Amino acid sequence: MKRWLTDPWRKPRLLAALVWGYLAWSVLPVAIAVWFSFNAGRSRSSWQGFSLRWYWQDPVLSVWNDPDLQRALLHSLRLAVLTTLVAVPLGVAFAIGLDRWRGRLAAGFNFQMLLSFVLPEILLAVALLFLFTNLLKAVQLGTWAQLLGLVTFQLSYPVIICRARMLSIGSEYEEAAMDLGASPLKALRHVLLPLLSPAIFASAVLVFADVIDDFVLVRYLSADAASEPMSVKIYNTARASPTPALNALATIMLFSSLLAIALGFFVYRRLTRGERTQESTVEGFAAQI
Amino acid sequence: MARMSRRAFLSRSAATALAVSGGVLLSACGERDATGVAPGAGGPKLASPENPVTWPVPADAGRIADGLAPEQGATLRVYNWSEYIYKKVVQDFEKKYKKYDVKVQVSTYGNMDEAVAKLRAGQVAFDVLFPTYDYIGKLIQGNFLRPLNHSYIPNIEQVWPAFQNPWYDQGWNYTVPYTIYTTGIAWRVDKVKDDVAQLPNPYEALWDERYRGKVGILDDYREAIGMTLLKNGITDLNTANQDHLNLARDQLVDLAQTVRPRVNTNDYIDLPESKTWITQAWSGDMVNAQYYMPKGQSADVMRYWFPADGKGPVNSDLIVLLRSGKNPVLGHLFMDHLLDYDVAVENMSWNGYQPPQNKLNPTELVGQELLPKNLETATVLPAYFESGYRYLELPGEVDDRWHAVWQEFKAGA
Repeated sequence: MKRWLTDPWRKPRLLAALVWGYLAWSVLPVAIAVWFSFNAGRSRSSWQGFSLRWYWQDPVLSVWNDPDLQRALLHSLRLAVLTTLVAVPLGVAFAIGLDRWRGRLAAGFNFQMLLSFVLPEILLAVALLFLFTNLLKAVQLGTWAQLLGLVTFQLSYPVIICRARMLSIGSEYEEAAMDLGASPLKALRHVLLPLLSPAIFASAVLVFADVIDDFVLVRYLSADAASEPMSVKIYNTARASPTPALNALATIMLFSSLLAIALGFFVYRRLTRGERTQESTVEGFAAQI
Repeated sequence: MARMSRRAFLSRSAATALAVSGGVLLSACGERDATGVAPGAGGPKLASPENPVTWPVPADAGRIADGLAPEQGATLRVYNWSEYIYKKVVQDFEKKYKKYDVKVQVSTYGNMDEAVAKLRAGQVAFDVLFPTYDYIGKLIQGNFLRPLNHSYIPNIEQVWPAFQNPWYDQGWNYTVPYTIYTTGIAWRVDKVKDDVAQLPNPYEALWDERYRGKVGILDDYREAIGMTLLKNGITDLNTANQDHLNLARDQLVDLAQTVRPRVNTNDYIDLPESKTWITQAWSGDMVNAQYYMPKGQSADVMRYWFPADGKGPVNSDLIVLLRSGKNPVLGHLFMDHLLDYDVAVENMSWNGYQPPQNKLNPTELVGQELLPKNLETATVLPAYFESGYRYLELPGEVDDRWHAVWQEFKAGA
């Protein structure tokens, strides 16, 4: 026993057990939730037989037939897409700007970016709610308020990710391009942006994934049922007596986000084809995120 | 204490209630009103069965004229408790008024404070709200409600006559009823050997150590403390008497230590799944419990007890129209729709909570298969609303003392 313990070349069984234990611990509840989306009865904790009732068979309450659930799903997707479309280009521009621009003001912006990275979301949510209901009354609670809030909150991800990437790229490629006669704008477009694309892509995936399950901000800034995304819907009904239709909807969400991540991975692999010498793609993708 | 007759307690508690409602109440709304609704000019009023209230209808309150056509192409904004209305009933309303191209949008809240906070923010023009009656005064005095035009609501004839003149809104100027329920005890005959309903004091069964770990208590401070008071024969469920509250505290702490109850509002799930064998329960939840039995088990094993003489807690939820709503005619029609017998029964078939329909009685409910025979006792009868006890809004200081009792119980549970 002692020899086995002190043997530096022994197999790391304990670590392996821990890893598998952790995986089981985190996957099991999800698996159970998915399993109950196929329950025949109303219960989400006792098995009452297999059916597809909550996917489309139930004429009123299934995901397929309940416009409320679909609206929630669509609103989640709408917010995620819009936030990504606004926050990522803005963030990339911001990152490039901060990288080039020296001085106290830039340092201030840089600090502000880091601050919003660590600021608790609930603080921002409460502050924005106050802003929209008392000062900027033109912004009605609902999609617009949510979008503004989410962009504010998510902006720091693309900024930080792109700046990190720019540090590793350095300025040599751009300088070389300009030595060869490219204008600064051309150098940016033809050299820097392609080099940045894995970071841009990674931050887009991150922002999208983060917004789709955002809860705090969107709940504070939602108006009525029309601006309640999935997460808020799940929260609202979880405290009453929700049906497994909610599990069905969450299952659909789960598999579509898995699909999105897989898609992201393959696109990332294509984008970084030339660079893959030492590290594996998975590690690179994970490191970007 | 427990030796004293019920009658003696009744008269005594009535006296306390009167004494309390005199002075202390004034401080209730002004200072520590969680919702922040400003009391009206006449000072806050608190309705109770002994103290019925007729709310004034100001000329500018927005009561609509007779015979208006429904709004065309409108979205009726309904604000309701989460999972408290059957979607089919809502869709049927849309179909019924299809030629006016009506859409109904149901938004939900988790508690009344949340709802009132959102109404106060005033950013969304909700048309219809489902409040509890203890909020009616606040809502009216805060100018949130639209007085009803009775000519649009003929189906009021289908519900218990008492709701045309309830104590919290004499002359039903603002409210129509939605659901009614009792609070009692539910148990499983396959686990609990005694017939709880036949015990001299059924409430004591919740304190029975044989059911340790298998007892459920509703996570609602009024219900849990009220039930403990009733166990001791104290029928003033709004008591300000510290001796009574101390008694309830001691017994609840004892319950927490000896029985280790589950404290939640999942009575309708826990009982069918045998997580509890005996539980404090709402009648509507027991109607629902039948849908949560695991595969292959019958709902026959469940029973529900509410005092046969009707001397237990009764409650009702209401429907009101909001002044901010853009569709007052449709709002009236939606109310009328929900008061219709067939619609109300359809709704109950999903949410379990009984509407106060004249035609519904135990035989009818069992016959319609809304209720299994063994849960017939979960039916709410009109007589219960005369004999039963109400949880009324408590004055702030009294409410604090109730909360203190609850905290001690929760700390031990």
